[in-house]
Amino acid sequence: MSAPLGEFEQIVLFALLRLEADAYGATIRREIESRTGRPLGISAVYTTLDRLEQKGIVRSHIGEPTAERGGRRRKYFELTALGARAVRDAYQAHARMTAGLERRLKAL
Amino acid sequence: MSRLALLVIRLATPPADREWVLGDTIEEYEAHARADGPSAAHFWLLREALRVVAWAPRHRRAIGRARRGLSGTDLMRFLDDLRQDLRYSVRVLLQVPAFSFVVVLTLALGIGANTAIFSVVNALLLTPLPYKDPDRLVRLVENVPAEESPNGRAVRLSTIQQEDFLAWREQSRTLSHMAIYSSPVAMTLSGRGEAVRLNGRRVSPALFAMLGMPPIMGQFFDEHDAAPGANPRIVLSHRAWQRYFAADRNVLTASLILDGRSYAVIGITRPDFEFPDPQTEFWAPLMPTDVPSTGVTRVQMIARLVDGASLESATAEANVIGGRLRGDPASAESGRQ
Repeated sequence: MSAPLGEFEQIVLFALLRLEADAYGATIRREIESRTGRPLGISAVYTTLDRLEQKGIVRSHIGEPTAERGGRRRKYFELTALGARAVRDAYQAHARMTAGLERRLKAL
Repeated sequence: MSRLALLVIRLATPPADREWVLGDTIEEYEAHARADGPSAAHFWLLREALRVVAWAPRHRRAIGRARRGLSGTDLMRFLDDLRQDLRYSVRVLLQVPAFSFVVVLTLALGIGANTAIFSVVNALLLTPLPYKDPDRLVRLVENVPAEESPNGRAVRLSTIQQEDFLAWREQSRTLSHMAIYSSPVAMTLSGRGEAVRLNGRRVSPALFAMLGMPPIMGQFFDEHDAAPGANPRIVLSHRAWQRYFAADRNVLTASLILDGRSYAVIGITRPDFEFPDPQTEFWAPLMPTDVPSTGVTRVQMIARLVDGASLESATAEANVIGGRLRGDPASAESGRQ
């Protein structure tokens, strides 16, 4: 088991999971910003992805040139097997900790 | 889209990563433009570029440069270290504000005092006077002992009675080229638009020859200026010439109305001629005989040591002459410097 994931790292991983094959810097940033409502710089996303890649939780590859964005290629990110386990663990921990709390949270 | 902002981001990004970083940036820009309009997108891009500049090392690290081990000893690495050190220093100083305040105050006072002292030392000691043989110039200062002083206290006088000047000139053998000058006098220049107040000095016509610094234009006083009834003439400082006459060369043919009296401008001094101080804007002749007309009674005296005379011998002689003029040669004490 590697070092526990930070909160933002978990959020980035959930974004990867949501975006599946379309996960690269710009989409990840937009996904997080639109779902959390948290204004986010692209550098912060790059920093976290880089750290996750060093930990072996995500891997990246450069895509093929596209007609969009001036023909510039994208750097795609995806979960490794270790990453898949880490995000599942994180989700389960979250789910177990939050189970049954909905009513109480609303009452707060 | 701001090409400059894109260029900044491009330069801050390692070449291998430029394509996808710029691609992401452009895509984001277009998304912002669609959602919030072009000006909002423009603003976002500028902000992003500024952020990249401010955080260039982090930005480069973030996109994987450091991990890949590409050139870790370049300028960006140095800047990164420097930035971290600065941030650390600021953080530590902010944790102890009282101490920091004292440190800053001490530094400020130290630097201020140093600057002030250097200015004085530079002006007085390091920069030589711009005049000819400045080390032969002397100024008369009279130390009157308490028993001879009218108010019973020892006094140091830097001025002499104007009528005593003739006696000094006749009796001194160690001094040559003696000249006197008044304390500041102000005259109103009128007849040229708005009236202005000029600060100047009345000086012996011989003063300029003594200092040995030629005018930048025109000429200085000669012995005729000291003669009674001479046409009033005046020398202007370089600064006054520039400030009030826009460096007009025709000023030498014009006459100026000063305090209602017409003066012919005969010369302009060099810019570094600041005698006796930089505030002096004109020099008018001072005749030892025209005490009532100018109202100048006490004057300062400067002179040149004659060749072969030492400062000590001149001081000894001045003590005798000064004492004699005070009417008490035995206990007279006056000095020159």
